[in-house]
Amino acid sequence: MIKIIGSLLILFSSTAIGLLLARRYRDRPREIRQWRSALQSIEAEIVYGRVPVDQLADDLSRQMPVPLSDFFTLLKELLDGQDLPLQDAWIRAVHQFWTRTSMKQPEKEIILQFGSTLGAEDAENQQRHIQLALAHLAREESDARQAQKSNEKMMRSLGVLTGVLIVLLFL
Amino acid sequence: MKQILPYLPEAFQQIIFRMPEHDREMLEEIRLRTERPLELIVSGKRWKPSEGTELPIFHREQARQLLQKISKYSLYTLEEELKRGFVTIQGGHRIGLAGRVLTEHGHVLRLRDVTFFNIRLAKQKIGAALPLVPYLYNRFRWYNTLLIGAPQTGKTTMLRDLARLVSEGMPERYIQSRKTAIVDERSEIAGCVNGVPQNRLGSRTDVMDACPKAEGMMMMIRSMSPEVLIVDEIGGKADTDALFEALNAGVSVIATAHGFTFEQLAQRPSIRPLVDARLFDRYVILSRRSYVEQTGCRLTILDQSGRKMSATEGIWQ
Repeated sequence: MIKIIGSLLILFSSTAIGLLLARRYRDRPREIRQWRSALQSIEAEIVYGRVPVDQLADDLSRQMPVPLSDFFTLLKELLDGQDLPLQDAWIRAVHQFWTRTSMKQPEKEIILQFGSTLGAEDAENQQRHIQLALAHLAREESDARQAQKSNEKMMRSLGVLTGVLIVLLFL
Repeated sequence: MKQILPYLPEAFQQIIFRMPEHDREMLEEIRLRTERPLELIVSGKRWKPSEGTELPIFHREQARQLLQKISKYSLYTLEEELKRGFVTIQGGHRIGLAGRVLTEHGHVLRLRDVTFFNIRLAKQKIGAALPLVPYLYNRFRWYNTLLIGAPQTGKTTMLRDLARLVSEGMPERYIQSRKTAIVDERSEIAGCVNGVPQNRLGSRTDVMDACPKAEGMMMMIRSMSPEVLIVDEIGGKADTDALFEALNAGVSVIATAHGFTFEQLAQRPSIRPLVDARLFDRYVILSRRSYVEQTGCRLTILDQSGRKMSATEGIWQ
């Protein structure tokens, strides 16, 4: 009896680990896609509305889906609450936000690079920087999709199979 | 003052904070030049700190930060302002900018390296135009008026207060409030931030902010049916044409122009037709007078044909 409960427990936890790992592969392209749409609305607001960054952050924190909305809430808090210059606030917000997401280093670099140009140029150059960041993100997204395709299923079944293997070994 | 201080570097804030109360109230300009010491203009003169203290130097990095702060870290919001060379901030204060200019086809594209700043503190002097009212209002209408003065004589201050008087009216003197339209090319009269006036202008005032005067006047007449139209610094040929149009449309116009005397102004080719056609009913000449530690203003009022009617002097606190 105890054996059965124990083996079920092992099987359950290894399956859960597998699903968690698989989720990271599934979420990454989705989150990159969110960033891309955020950058696109930043572009529209800058080019057509000339909306200042603090207001942009406020708008996006309400428009964007979770988890990305958290980033803009964070940015706004750092800008308004702590009165940090935009560049510092951006870097800090990115560092804090990245630990909560499934995204990896390359996207982080792109976003950091983008932040260093935000607000420092006229609208035309700003648009160019956004386009550049968008292109980079598109590439990362397709990479992430490929990784998802090849790894997501594998991780899921690997979890279950590892569980089965351990159970069989202990029996 | 509270609105200005957060923009300045810490050391500069300290200096202004430690100024004698009296001087601080009379502060007119804060001038910042890259790699040069801070300059403060108090009552039209350069302010000297007490013995032993030096005014801090304004560094290149601080210049960059100041510009970023002015734009709220969004430089692209200042494109138009960088072309015009000044920014109006909360409270109606104006920051004049100079530095390296980028040009395209011989026209100014925008300022790139902004290295000189001149922060002009806006001080609305409520009641500055009161002595003028008896000369400018008669039989339920405001006369077409031209205010003439050299720079820094308080033309705009006077015009702003007139705008307020026109739109608020003066019930105690049986002066009705009027629909007022201001064409504010240099954002100086209303001091608009995002289209909302920062100065007290009465509740019946419409403002066309940052709009070229000639076009703005026509737009206002067509769309907002003003009773009194207020314009700053007329001078160009196009302005004159628009003024003819406005005056013929039955709108009262109160305007200002640069000049020292009426005679000198009447010689200017763009103003002359207006004077000849007797379109203005009153001319007000402003000149700056210095009293002991205070600046005042002398007003001379001329009638339609340039004859002197009266002169008054006042001290501004």
